[in-house]
Amino acid sequence: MKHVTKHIRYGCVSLLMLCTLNIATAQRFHFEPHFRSPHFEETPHFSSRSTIHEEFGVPERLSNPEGIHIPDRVETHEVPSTSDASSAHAQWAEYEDGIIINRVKYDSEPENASEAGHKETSSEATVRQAVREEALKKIGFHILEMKVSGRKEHVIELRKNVFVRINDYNDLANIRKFDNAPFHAEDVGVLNLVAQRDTVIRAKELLSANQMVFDFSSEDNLRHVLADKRNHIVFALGHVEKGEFITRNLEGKVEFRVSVSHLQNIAQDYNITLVALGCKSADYSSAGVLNAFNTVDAVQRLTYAMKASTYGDMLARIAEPTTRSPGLSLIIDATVLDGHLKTVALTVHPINNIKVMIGVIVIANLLIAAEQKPDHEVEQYLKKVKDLDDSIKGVEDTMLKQGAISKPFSLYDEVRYKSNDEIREIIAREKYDEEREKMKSEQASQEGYDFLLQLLMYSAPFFIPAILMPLSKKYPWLSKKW
Amino acid sequence: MAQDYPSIDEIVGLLADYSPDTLETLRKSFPTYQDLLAVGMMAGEVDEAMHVRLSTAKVLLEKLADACNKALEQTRRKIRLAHHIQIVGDIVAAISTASIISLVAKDAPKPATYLAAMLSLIGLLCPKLVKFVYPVNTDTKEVFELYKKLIKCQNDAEQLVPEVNACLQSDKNRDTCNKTIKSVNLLAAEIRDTLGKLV
Repeated sequence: MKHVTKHIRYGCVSLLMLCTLNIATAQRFHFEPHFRSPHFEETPHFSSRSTIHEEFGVPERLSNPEGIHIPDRVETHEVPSTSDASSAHAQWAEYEDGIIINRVKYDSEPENASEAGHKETSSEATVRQAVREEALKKIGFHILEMKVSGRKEHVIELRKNVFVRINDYNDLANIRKFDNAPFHAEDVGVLNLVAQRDTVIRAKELLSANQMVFDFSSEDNLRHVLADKRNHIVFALGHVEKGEFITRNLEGKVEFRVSVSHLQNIAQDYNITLVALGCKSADYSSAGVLNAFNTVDAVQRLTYAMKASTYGDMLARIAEPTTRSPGLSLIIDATVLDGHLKTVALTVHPINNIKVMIGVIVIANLLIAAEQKPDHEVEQYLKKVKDLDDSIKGVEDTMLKQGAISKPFSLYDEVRYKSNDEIREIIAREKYDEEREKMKSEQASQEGYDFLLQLLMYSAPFFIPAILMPLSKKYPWLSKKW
Repeated sequence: MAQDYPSIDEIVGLLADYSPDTLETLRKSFPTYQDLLAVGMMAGEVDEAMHVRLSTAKVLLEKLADACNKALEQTRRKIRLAHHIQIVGDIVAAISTASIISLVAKDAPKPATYLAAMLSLIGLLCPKLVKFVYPVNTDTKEVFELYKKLIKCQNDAEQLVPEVNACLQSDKNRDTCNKTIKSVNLLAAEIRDTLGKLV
C-alpha cells in the first residue's frame, strides 16, 4: 500500500512538472491556438502554384477588429498615372531611397508573384483579386510601394519605420504571427564590428549579456563566435562601405572586413537570422537598414529593444524615430521573418517538449528508485542495530528462562520496517545527541582551563614581585623607576 | 569617399567628457552636421565637411590647455597627499615594529598601552589609505610616465594650433589638413587614455 501511494505521489509530481513546462514552452512560442492573440484569425495562404479555389475560397465574413493599419507618414507621395512611360520613370528617379511612393491598391500584384507560364483567365483573376482584398483586410496591413536601392519594392509597414519586403503573397501569412511572437532577450546576439571607443564602451556597459566577443582577427574566429549563437537572431552592428562591413582602428587602418552577403551566408550555416545594422545595409542584405545612423545610438536602441515582450515590439524599439534621433529604418524580407519563426518552432518547441517529457519520466523514475534503494548510511545503521541485538541475545535467553521477560526484545525488528527517511531521522537524532555530549564535555574542560588561567592572572601581582624581589637585590637596576 | 575623410570621433568624445557645453555650442553653430558632432560614429558614409572637422579640432585644442592644467594640478595634489600619507605610515610602522614602544608601555597605564597598539595599527593601515587616495602605484614609474605624457600632450596641442588655423584660412592643401585632423584625433585619444587612468 505504501509503495502504491508513493508511486501515485511521484506520478502526480511529474505530471505537474510536465504541465508547467508545457505551458511555459507554449507561452514562449505562442503556437497553441488558445495562446494566440485574440485579434489573429487563421489567414489563408496565397499561392499561385495551386488553384485559388483549392487553397482558400472566398472568406465568409470580414473580421478585422484592429482595422487596417495605414501608416501616417508625411513623406508619402502619390505618383500621378501618366501614359508617358519615360516621364513617369523620370519622376520616379527623383525620389530618394526609402521614400514611400504609392499606396498600392489591391489590384496590383508584386511583379514576381505570379509564376512564369501560368496564365489566368479573367474570372480567375477576379476571384484572386477579391480574395486578396479580403485577406489583406484580415491581416490588417496596407501594401506600399517603396524605393529601395533604386528598385521599386512592395512592402508593408509592420510597425513605425519597420518595413517588411514582400516577394510573394504567401509571405504575408506569418507576419502577424511574427509580430505577436513572444520575444526573449536570451535569443539574441549582438555582433559588434565597430572598434570606435565610445561604441565599444557603451556596448560593454549596456549589452554585456548579448554581446558576442570578437577580436577582429580572422573569419575562422568569426565563425567560432557565430557558432555559439546557433538558431539565434543576431544583430551585426558595423560600418558599411560598398556592401562590406569594415572595421577600422584609431589610425584609420582597416583591421577587418567582411562583405554583408558573405556574413549572411556564414550566419545561414549556423541557422542564424542575421540583421545587418550598417548604414544603408538594406541594399546588400535581406534584413538591413535603409538610412544612416549613429553607432552609440544603435547600441542604446538595442539595449532598449532587449526589454521588449514581442518580436514586433523589439523591432519597433530599434526603428522608432524620436525627437533626438531618426531611428534605424529597418527593412526585412518576409521570408526572413518566416524563417526565424520556423527556426524557433522547429528547434525549440516540439523537440524540447519531447526532451522535457523524457526528462520528467527519467527524473520521476530516478526519484522512486532512490527512495526504494536503501542507502549506505541506513544499511550501516541496520547492521549496527542487528549486532546490538546479537550481543544481548545471551542475556535475554537467561532472562527468558528466569521468566523476567515474556518475549525476546529485538530493536532490529522495530527498525527494519521503517522507511529510509525515518531511519535517517533516527540516525540524525543520535548523531545530534552524541555531538551535544561531546560539546558539553569540551565546554567543561574549557571552563576548567579558563578558571586556571584567571587564577594565574589574578595571582600574578602576588607571585611576580615575590620572584622579582630577591632578584632586585642582586640586580639593583630592576627596582629603578622609569 | 568616406574612408578618405579624417575621423574626429575621439575629439568629439573628449569634448563630450570634459566640456559638454562647448560641444553643444558647436552643434548649435553647425546644425546641419549633427551626425558628425555626435558621440560615436556614423555606420556608413558621411559628409566631408572639412570646415566642421577643423573647427571642432580648433575648439578642442583651445580647451585642451585648461583641461590638461586642471588634470595636472589634480594629479600633483594627489601625488603629494599620497606621499605624505606614505611617509607618515612608514615612520609609524618603523617605530611600532621596533620594540621601544612595547618597552615604554610596559610600566605605563592602560590607555598608553592601547595607544601604542593603535599606533602600530595606523602604521599598517597607511599603505592601504594611500592606495585608496591614489589608485596608481606611486612607487613605480607609472604615475610619472602619465604625468610626463600629459605635459607632452599639452606641448603637442600648442604646436598643432597654428596648423589648424592655417587650414581654416585655407592656406594649406587638403592632404596636409587631413593629416592635421588625424593627428589631433590621435592626440585626443591619447589624452582620453591618460585622463582615464589618472582621474
